Amino acid sequence: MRRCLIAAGLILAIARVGAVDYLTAGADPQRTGWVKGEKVFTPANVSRMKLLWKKKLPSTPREMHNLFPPLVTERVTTARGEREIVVVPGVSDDLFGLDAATGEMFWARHFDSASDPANGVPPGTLCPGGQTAIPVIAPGRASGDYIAHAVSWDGRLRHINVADGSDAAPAEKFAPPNGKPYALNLVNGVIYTTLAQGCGGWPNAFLSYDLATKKSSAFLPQGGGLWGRRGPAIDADGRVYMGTGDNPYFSDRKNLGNAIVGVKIDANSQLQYDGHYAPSNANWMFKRDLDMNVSPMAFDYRGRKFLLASSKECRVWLLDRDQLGGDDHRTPLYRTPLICNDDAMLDASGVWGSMAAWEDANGTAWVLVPFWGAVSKTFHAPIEYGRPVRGGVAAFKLEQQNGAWTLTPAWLSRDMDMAEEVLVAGGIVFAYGSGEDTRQQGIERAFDEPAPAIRTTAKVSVQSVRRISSSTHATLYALDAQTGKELWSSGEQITSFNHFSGLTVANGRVYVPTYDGYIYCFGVTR
Amino acid sequence: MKRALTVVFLVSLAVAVSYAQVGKITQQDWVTSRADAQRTSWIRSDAFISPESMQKPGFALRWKATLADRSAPRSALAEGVVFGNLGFGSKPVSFITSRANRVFAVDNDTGVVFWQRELEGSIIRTNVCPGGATSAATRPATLVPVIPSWRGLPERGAYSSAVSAPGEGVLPYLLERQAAARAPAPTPAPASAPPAPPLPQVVYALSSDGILHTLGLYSGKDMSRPLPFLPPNARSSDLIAIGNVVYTTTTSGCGGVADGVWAMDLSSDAHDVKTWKSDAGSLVGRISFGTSGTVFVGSSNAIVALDPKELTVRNRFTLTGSTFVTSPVVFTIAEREIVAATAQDGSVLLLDAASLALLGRSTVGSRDPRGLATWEDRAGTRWLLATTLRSVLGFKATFVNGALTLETGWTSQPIGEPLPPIIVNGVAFLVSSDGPPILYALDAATGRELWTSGRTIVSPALRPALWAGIGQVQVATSDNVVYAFGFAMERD
Repeated sequence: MRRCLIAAGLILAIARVGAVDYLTAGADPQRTGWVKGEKVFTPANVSRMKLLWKKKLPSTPREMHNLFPPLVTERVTTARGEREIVVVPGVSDDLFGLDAATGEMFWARHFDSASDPANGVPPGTLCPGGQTAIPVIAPGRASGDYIAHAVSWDGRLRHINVADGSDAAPAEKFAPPNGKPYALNLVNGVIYTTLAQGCGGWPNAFLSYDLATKKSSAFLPQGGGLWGRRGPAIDADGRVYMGTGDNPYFSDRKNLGNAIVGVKIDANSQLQYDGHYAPSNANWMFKRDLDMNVSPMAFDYRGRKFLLASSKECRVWLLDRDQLGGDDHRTPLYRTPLICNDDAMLDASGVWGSMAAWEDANGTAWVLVPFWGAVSKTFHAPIEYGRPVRGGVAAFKLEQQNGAWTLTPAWLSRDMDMAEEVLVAGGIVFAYGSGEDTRQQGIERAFDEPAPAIRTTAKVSVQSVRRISSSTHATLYALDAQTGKELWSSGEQITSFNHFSGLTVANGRVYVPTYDGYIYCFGVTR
Repeated sequence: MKRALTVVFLVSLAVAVSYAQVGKITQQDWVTSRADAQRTSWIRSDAFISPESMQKPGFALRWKATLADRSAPRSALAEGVVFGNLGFGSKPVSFITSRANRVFAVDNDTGVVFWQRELEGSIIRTNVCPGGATSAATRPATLVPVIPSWRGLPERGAYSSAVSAPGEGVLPYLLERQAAARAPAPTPAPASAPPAPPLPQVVYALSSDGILHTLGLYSGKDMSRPLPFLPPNARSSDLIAIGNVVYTTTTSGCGGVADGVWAMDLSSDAHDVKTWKSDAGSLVGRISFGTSGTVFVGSSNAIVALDPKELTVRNRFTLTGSTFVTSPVVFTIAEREIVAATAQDGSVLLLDAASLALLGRSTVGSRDPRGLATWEDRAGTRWLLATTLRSVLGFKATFVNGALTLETGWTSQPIGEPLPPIIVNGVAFLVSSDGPPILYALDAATGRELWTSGRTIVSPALRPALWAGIGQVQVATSDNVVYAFGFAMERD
């Protein structure tokens, strides 16, 4: 088994070359959101996209979480032959294996976590408990074999056969119980995640698990946060990156709050500090709770090793991975002006989803930034499809001007209700508004104002009840990646919102999971 | 495993608490006009402002914001009141009323108007009666100021990492780190009384039609039914709310309303309004409170102590040969509560708060005293700061043979028509008003100038309002611009 898992990690990159798979959050370990292998979608055909199927899964929500964006393996050898399998994670310790073509559920797997990993501590909107990390899939030893690695609520690492949901290997101790790990990543036989937001009372940490040695490691940056939706980004040199928050930045004390932190595993499977960047206004961001809450992207372009990061503050930092933040750790290659969040709000504004970076056929590099809330009064792009008030996507070109690297605004999308993760595939930007009520605080009702309708019977926290009740529905958009022009939208077809979830694109299909337990599959005919 | 999870649970609670508190600078808020119910104008401690820090570079204009439209009269803005930690994003907010019948909530970090609310009511302006919402807003106040101690950010060790034995997972290491980070449990003080219920998170404002509004801090919405409190178009002084009772005074006969003290119990269903109509001449400014709840009001020739519930007279001190020109200020020295006010003849009268017996009268060296503030230094010396036409004076209050005297401690450099000072953690701030206003920061124990705003304020003079926030001082000028000075936390 051990040899099998090692092989899985080592051949991941090789296997990707020939398959159009979506094996990890954000399409690749670098978290670029660029689905390079996509061959079906084109700007010309996406306007004919339609709902192919939707499937209600037996997943029980916890607080506002339910389903996470699925992973897709195109050619899985199953008992019924070769199938394209969609692996959908559910927060209540579930994995579901669906037929990508029809939505038929091939298998369902419920993890046997301890009866109550939370030990009686009630969940909340922020810390729902359950399975919170999007798994990662690696090819197995034989062609057509795939193994999904997942972290269950009890913190154990699971190894699941994608073909049938069975255990490929016994569960192993890894993370603490009832924490909040984010999306798993897998490079060179090592699984990485970040343990985030103090959930379960655990320190925020980078975690790793070496599949060969079964050694786990934790790196505590002494900064909170670590809650980038796609989990950590990992570059080709094995450097692992994530943003922190909720703690001040004191370089002399080695407290890396509100910073981008890089770590790397050593020969003994231990995570070690590798570098960091703290914005010049890190402590302002700490004071206003403007966490570095976005998974960074490791993006290589014209021989440069870039890292792109963002936060609730709503700007993008362009960094050099070989000199993260320069000698003083505070000097980026470039920093955009504010894209949104003029009022420095901690909720309902800023970048909360996941960005994308890609290079077009002409060699132009693009960076896409989805954001919540109104676009900044001072941010403008040459092409604008309105001035978003609920959210939108801003596109930049990564280019050199007078010898210096910069991010030049290119287009600004239409308004989207809480724009979340973006993915790029086939020259199309897939974006969506989650429709979620993202307000966390300050909801006041005048003495003569009727109480809002409660539209959930879920036994959840007061905040979750309010937000579930006042959320609307997600909307998927397909935009021309060159111009931002809307090519297609799902309109009213999706009837529920989602919270801290995302999108998946593979092989001419787009998957959107929602809070009500449905997974929607939109696509074009292949 | 069960034992491990139990440990996890207990540690989780401790860590969750510490996480929740991180980032919040908890210190005394400027909750009502002149800071507190005693109207001392004194913020006891501040995480940023001190005589030491003010001698270093960094204190500067952070932002300015215009808060009124063109229809607003000059000097429309009242002194703001502050909520230092709105929400868990630690947003400090000033709530500022405008005589244009508006209330503004301004982000103290950025100057951005968080919300504004227009109140109803016609506005009748005369030479004597400014009209509109004449009173500053107030947050609920306490008889003894709530002064949380700011202990700074929790100490954290340096970043660290560990690797487990094969198959062990990271749990043992994380448990070890949790234990190391856990602060020793403080020894709880013996409870002498049940804890006071939390104060409502609202701000009170009075519109020109005499209606009291209870506004939500986040939205400015009416959280309770607006209640008639004063007759329309009265000129009310700075509102204050103690317990469930809201108080104000009326002056100048505006709206045909006699000078008096007004109180309304918000906890009673009837919302009865009590009134004490002045029989001691024109009232001078705002009321203040003793720590036992007694209401002190100054008139031209008397200081009157009123019962806080019924507004009946408890005691009275009558001044002869001069008239009072400042509202009473209350402080404690040698365990005695004192009421101080200045008179037109340049004297400061010091009265026993319990009996209003005269304990001392000291001349401050001017026949035109303008304002009074008080603070106590770390050595326990009680200071009174008085402004005259040309300077600020610091007096030490001491008992000598049973008499309370004021000994001149310092006299500031010449300052043109300084307005009443405020004191923040040992630093006295005041604004000159004989030209373009200049904000001065003086060492409140020596009078030494620590900093000035120079020509930063370009607005005309005329009665600027001054109040403090966390690490910051705001000045509202007569052209309805708020200038905020503080130590910049780099935003950009």
